[in-house]
Amino acid sequence: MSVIEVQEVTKRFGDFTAIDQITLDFAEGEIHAICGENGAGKSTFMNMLFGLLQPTEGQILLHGKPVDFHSPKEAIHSGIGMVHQHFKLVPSLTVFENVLLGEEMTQSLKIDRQREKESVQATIDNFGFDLDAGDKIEAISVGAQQRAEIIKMLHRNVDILILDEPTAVLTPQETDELLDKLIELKNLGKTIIIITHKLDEVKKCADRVTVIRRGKKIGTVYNQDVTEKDISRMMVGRDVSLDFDKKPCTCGDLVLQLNNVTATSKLGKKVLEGIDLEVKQGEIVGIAGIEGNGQAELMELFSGTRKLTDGEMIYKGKKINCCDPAALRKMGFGLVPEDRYRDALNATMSIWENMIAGRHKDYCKLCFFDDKVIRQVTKELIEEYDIRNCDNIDALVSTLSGGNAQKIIMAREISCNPDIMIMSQPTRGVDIGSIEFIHQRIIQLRDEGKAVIVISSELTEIMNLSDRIYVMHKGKIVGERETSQTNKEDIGLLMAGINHQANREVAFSYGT
Amino acid sequence: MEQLLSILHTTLRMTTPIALAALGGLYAHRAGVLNVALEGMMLASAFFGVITSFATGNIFLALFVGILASVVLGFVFSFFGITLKGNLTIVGLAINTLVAGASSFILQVVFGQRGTFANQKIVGLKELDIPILRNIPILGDIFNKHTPIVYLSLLVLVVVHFILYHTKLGVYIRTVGEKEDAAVSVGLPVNKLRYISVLIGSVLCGLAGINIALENVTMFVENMTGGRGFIALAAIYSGRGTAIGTYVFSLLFGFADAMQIRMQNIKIPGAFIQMIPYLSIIVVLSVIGLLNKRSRRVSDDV
Repeated sequence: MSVIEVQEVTKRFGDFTAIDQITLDFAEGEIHAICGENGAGKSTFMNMLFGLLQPTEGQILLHGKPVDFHSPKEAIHSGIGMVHQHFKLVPSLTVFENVLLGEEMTQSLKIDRQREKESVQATIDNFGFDLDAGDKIEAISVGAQQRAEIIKMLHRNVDILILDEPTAVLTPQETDELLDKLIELKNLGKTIIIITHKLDEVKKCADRVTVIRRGKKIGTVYNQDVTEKDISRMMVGRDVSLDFDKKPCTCGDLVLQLNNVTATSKLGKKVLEGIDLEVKQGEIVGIAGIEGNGQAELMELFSGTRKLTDGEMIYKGKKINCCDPAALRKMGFGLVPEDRYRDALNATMSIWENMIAGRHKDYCKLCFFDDKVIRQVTKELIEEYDIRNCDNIDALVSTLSGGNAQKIIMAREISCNPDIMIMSQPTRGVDIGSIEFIHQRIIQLRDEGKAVIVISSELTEIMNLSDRIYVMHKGKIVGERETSQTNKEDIGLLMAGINHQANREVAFSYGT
Repeated sequence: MEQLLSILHTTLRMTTPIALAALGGLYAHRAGVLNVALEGMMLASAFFGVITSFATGNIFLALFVGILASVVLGFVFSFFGITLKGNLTIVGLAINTLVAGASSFILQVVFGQRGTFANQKIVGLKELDIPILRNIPILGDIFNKHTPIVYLSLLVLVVVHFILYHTKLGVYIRTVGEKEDAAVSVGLPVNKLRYISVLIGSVLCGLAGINIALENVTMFVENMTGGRGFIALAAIYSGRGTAIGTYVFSLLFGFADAMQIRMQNIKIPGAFIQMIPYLSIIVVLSVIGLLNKRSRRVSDDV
């Protein structure tokens, strides 16, 4: 029996059709995965179910009756709850205060904290979650915060739970726990809708999968009838493969070496400690780790925006201790930073301006830009890197989707012909089609004999690309593995700070 | 000793308008609205309070009109700053400038007065002589013989603290200021809560303005609030957004004000003496800034 029926729903923003005539039903007590590339309209679709947006056409039926939500509050009252990708929790309040936000229990005017806490703890225990109602949100791990978000919805007696990219912030172990929990909730009769583009997770927990592409529904399939490959084909519209037959690594000379590198923050805290690391020509080195364990600081070191306080950085046999981004680039560093619009692109400038950023001198004729050459080079690169929606190169770069913006950065950095390419989260927020392309380019770089460092919190990415893997935890390298001699579980445990091979249990905590 | 008690008595008197404005501004602060218009609201209340008192001789009517003027400005501030999402600093400064200019202008055009407006017909607030307090030594000297608004301000402190930490409204206001997304996601009326925060501030600023104009001096002087709105903001920041902290720092600034008044008899040029309260704020803010930096370092290392 279907709890929600969506009938020919369309959503337009001005001329742009985000959702085009989607008809879909969600059955009671199922886990239904909504898959699609970035910008396919998944979030828009869910926001309509949750009352954050209203459909332009069509209608939504809840238990057979048409509904028209104008606020999340109405949706929650009707039994639809949503856990957003970015948590909606107040850090300085406790778990129970967050859970009961908007529905406080009062005695005359005063909030009855004791009763609130007991009531929320009862719900937590009832569903068997590992959570303490009295803890402050700012003091608990990201995984626990997510549990608090889920409890917030369950406490409001929702029977339909929508989760938007719930595993993006979790470690592999936390992810498995969450998926198990979702299956448990399903068995209690809840309907769960999960938005994701991680297909292995879909395979693990979903009953049915609906694929959306460019606002249109491609199809709904039973999970057991399809493979991951089938789903990704539906998402992209063609065969996609992220498993590459890489040639074995033919490593050349040492390019970059870090010896006992330590860096301290302005406040005197060690953000990097005793980092030993090396990259050779023709090798991809992956740096795995849960975000916030020193990767960002390491990237700053490579980009010349952070000073090392101890140790040395040796590039092509020469010690470099300059803190000068321009000099590093001149020496042959290519950089793809983590936060596109903070460190790599200027959102208020055009596509061509961003394409030549950092290399303005090369495109000048008598101090003036050589417009003709710039335009031609930009167009060539757009062609070569298959960057879409770029017909007008005077358009702002921020009008591009994540994947296309990322390709602009890749095109710019690779066309500088670097000797070492360092990339942080190269496929964050990028759709699967573009991921395939970017990964291919990265491997191509390696095969051309470049040294490549990939920093990523995406374990699959690290496993697929790297020849060698370093794992970071709390500013230290806690493990080094040859990719061929390790597996996801091994790396996952290292990421959590547990070096089981060394038989040394580091406290199981996440750097927050 | 008598000197000291007298200074403390004055401290409480000088603290009251600062504390009222600060406690009022506290809600807006916690709701994520920088209420720069506290100054203008107080001045408007002082001005219209004096005028009403002069015209009617009714202190309650004066109180009402003063608060009303302040609330009207609160609506103006909220409309431009919250509904239309204007820059709060600019809107606030515009209101402050407008009130300062308009009050002088009206004074000159309607009443033919420049700078000050004093008249015997202006009825002031009566100081209360409380029989029980009168007979207690020391405490009586400090706490007796104040205007009702002074006592009211102590009550306001308790109420503000209670509302902020023990009622729905307080939790909502803090949520809106700290994490707007969270408020939206459970359907809290964000803008309405911000309006309420600003308007509570207006009411208290109205009281503060009346107290400045009608307690001791019973007259209106151009720009007589003398930056107390900004001092109140300083007290909020120094008190880290808590009601009690805010009041403590208001007391500190009130004390500096009292010292300033007391020391005007000494043979130092008056302008220097009058700088004391403002210098004290610079010192306090600097110290607070350093302390905050240190505590951030500590929490960062954990």
